[in-house]
Amino acid sequence: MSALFSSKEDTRTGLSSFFDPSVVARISSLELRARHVVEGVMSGIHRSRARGFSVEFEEHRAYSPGDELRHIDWKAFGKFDRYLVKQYEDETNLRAHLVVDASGSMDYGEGSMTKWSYAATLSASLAHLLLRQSDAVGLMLSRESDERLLPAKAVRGHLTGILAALDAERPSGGTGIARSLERLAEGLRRRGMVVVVSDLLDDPGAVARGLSLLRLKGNDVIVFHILDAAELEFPFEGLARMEDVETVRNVTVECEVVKEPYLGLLGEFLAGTRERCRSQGIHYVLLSTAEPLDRGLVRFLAWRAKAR
Amino acid sequence: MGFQFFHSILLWGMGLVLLPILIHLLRRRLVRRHKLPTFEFLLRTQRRLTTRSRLRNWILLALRVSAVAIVVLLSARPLLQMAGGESGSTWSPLHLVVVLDTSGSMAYRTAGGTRLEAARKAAERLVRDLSSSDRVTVLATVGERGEGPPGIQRRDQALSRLSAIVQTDAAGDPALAIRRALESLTVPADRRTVMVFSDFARGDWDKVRVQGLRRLLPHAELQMVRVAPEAGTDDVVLAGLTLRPWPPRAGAAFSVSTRIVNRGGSRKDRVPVSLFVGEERVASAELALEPGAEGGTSFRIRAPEKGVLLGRVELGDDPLETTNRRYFAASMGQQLRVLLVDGDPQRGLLDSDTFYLASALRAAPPGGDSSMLVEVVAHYELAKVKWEDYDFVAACNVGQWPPQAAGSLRKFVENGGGFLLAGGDLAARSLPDGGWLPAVLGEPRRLSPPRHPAVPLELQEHPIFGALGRNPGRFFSRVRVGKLFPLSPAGSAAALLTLADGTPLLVAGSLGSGRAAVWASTCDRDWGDLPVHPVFVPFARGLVEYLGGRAKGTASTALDAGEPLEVRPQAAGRDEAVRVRTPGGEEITLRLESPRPLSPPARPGAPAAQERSAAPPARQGRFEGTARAGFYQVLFADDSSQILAVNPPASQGDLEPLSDSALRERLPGVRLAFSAIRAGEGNPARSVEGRTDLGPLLFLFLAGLLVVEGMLADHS
Repeated sequence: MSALFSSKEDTRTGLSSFFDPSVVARISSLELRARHVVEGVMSGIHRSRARGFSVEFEEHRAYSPGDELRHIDWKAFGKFDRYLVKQYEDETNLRAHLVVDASGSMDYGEGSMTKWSYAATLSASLAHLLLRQSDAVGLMLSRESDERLLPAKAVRGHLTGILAALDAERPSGGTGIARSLERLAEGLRRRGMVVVVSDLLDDPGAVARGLSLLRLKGNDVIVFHILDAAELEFPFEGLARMEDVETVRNVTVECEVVKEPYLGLLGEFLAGTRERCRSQGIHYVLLSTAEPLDRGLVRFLAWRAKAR
Repeated sequence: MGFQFFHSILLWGMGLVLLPILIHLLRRRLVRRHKLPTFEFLLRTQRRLTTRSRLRNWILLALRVSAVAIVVLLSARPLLQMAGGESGSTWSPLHLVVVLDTSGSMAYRTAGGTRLEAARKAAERLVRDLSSSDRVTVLATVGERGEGPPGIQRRDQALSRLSAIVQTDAAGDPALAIRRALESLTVPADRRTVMVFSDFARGDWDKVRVQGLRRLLPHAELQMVRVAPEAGTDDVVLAGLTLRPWPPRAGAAFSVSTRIVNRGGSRKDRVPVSLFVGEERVASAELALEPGAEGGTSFRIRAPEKGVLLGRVELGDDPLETTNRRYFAASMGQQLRVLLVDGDPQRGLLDSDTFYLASALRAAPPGGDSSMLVEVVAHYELAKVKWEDYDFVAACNVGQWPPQAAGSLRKFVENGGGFLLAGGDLAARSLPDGGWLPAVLGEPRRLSPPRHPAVPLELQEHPIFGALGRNPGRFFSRVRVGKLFPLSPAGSAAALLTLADGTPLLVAGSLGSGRAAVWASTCDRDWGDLPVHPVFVPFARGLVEYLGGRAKGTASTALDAGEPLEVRPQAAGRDEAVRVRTPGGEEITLRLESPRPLSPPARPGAPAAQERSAAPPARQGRFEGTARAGFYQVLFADDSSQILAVNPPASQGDLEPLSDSALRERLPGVRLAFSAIRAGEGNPARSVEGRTDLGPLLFLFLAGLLVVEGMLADHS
């Protein structure tokens, strides 16, 4: 690892390769992937101007039974000869829900990672990060007809459940992200944070409505819009039969002919989505599966810091 | 307007147009499949683009198919047939052969001049429009001898040649001209076109039959250009002229009968007919003729005592002047020198073989001399005889010939003399080397009962029977022949008199410049009674005049315009050259040459012709420039002269044009195109069909097509 930071240039290069999806994809365990990414980000943050963000030390308070022993400040005990517990800002107040799209369209990837794999890794990393900060994290896997919901908990063992749920999920069927958002909005009793990880290939109006409901309930919402590089760049050539992932529809096109209008329509869609999010105070992050995985986490942390 | 292909077989390559279609279909089968979650956007895109994309794909396919088709077409060398003549602006040179019909019928006058003038104008315009790299050959239907390849000229040379072509009164030989035109198409040129400018009158074209044209040049096109067809065929033709007796006797009256045909479609109320002697009109008449009807007039005038009788009969003006005049010429007072050889001399005149013949030939008009100077010799006197002192020799029942006599006799005939071999009991079956005679004699046989001679229908107007009127056969109906030598005509010899069953009695043929005949019977009454019948005198005189030269050569009315004039000085003359004065007054020197020995059918044991020659042959010449009708005067070195009347061939009066289909039948195996030009048209070449090379145009089109294809393909 030390070799990675031997110079500024090397640092950037090392970090980018560290979060390179093609590198991350080689790690088969989702937990290891999440840890790999989070540790990498945190190491990077130490050396970045973002230092000081995240879980901030605020003050000491007297130990009371029930407090975890690991929070006792042993240095302060040595200095003051009494048990003092470190008090952190925002500690345990956050309830975060990860809404991960598990529709068939997420099971697509022309590169090293599918959108699902990318989304799952990102979600696991976020869960890892949040739980590490003692935030309560819940998970909602959005499917065509139903959702699987893991309620938000702040215990570290909960990460295992989240990772297992993500690991076990096989994306399939149509998209139901809009409906899932609405249900989540209906089910949330407390304000919190909602992280949406999806390709948002659903009715844009319905998606916006779902997000809006979440916002109306006072939730902070961040949308990670995951798209494959092939979807964003349309690198196909020649005559091709394009097939829908979720349905049996197909169409034969001259790729060179349709590329420009396709990218135009996609651009309109992305711009529309971004604008709708912006108008509702929702943080929107467009991620390509070809981009390093830390980008999402960094954007998340930056957003969190700004929101506080 | 139509298309032609220089290499039409390459059009089979048109199947290659399926190649782009196959590739298109194959490409659709080999399409790659991709999944795409954002399919909805693609679908919306595709809906928007489908129409345009499909259209573009179809256009691309059409362009590619067209490109392949054009490449195939280019290789097949397409030529566009359209009015305006041959285009010179092309990427390959053109060889244009212009055949101008200069026969008499082309003198037909129209609103804008004669048909020949209209044809020449159109041809000149066509030649002027050619490029400098093109080549031209100019031919005429009259006067093409068929010796050596026709000249291939540049544009300016061809224009000079066109302007030098003159109207003739002769019959054309279109078949020879076309054959020579196709033979001339040997220069390396991609387009080879023969343009024939003619009226296609039946007179010349009805007899045309040319086979094997495709073999001559498979890629040539023959374009038949009708000249001023709108002018019609309205014409009154002086179709025939008969003078009786012929030749006219000095100082005696003779009749001139005309045969006149109205070839036009309207009645002619007053057709003026005039008879001129010299330049003086001595008689005239008028006649009315219904359309298609035939009529005639007859004049009777007196011949001069001596000198030359030059006359003509002339009709009034009409569009075709060529057929309005006929000429005749005769020398008065010249006697034919006749030698009769008696093979069985007898004391009694009536028993003599030559008595009847000599009497018939010596007959003279009252108060006048015979036109023949007759001498009789016995067969044993032949060694002293010089054949060249005579114009005609008749051997009557000659059984023995002195050595060399027969060989020198043949040379005599070749040099223009006339010879008659008559049978008899003593006569040998043939001469010692008589293979040159027009008939082979068989064993004599008796006819029981005796039979009557007959004149074959097609020979009723033969000069031999000139004094016997239109049905000479009737005069022989009472003549009986009881014995004869069977005759087998040789080569082109013709049986002029036969028995009713076709057995030849009199066979005549040509040899060199002379003529010879074999009479199957005797000259006396031994084998038949012809000598005691009235028909014997005119028959014998007609036969001797025909064989001896009075009815041929330079004193004949039988020569048609365009026929060569055989010039033979008098037997004693050895002129190296003579001058020929044409009707236009031009004098042309004609060199005389010794004739090449002829090679008659070889007979076993016969000596070679050279060995038989006793004396160097008399020089002779052949004058080809008789294309205009009128009087031709041959001027010999000794200041003597002979005058010849040359008339338009009767065929030139038949102006009825042959149809396109009839022409196709006569010229099978070659591409024929038809067009017509009008007389007086400002640019007659505009009406002539030409072939434009589409190569450059197609090439440009292909280039443009490829550019568009490239742009569309790039755009995709």
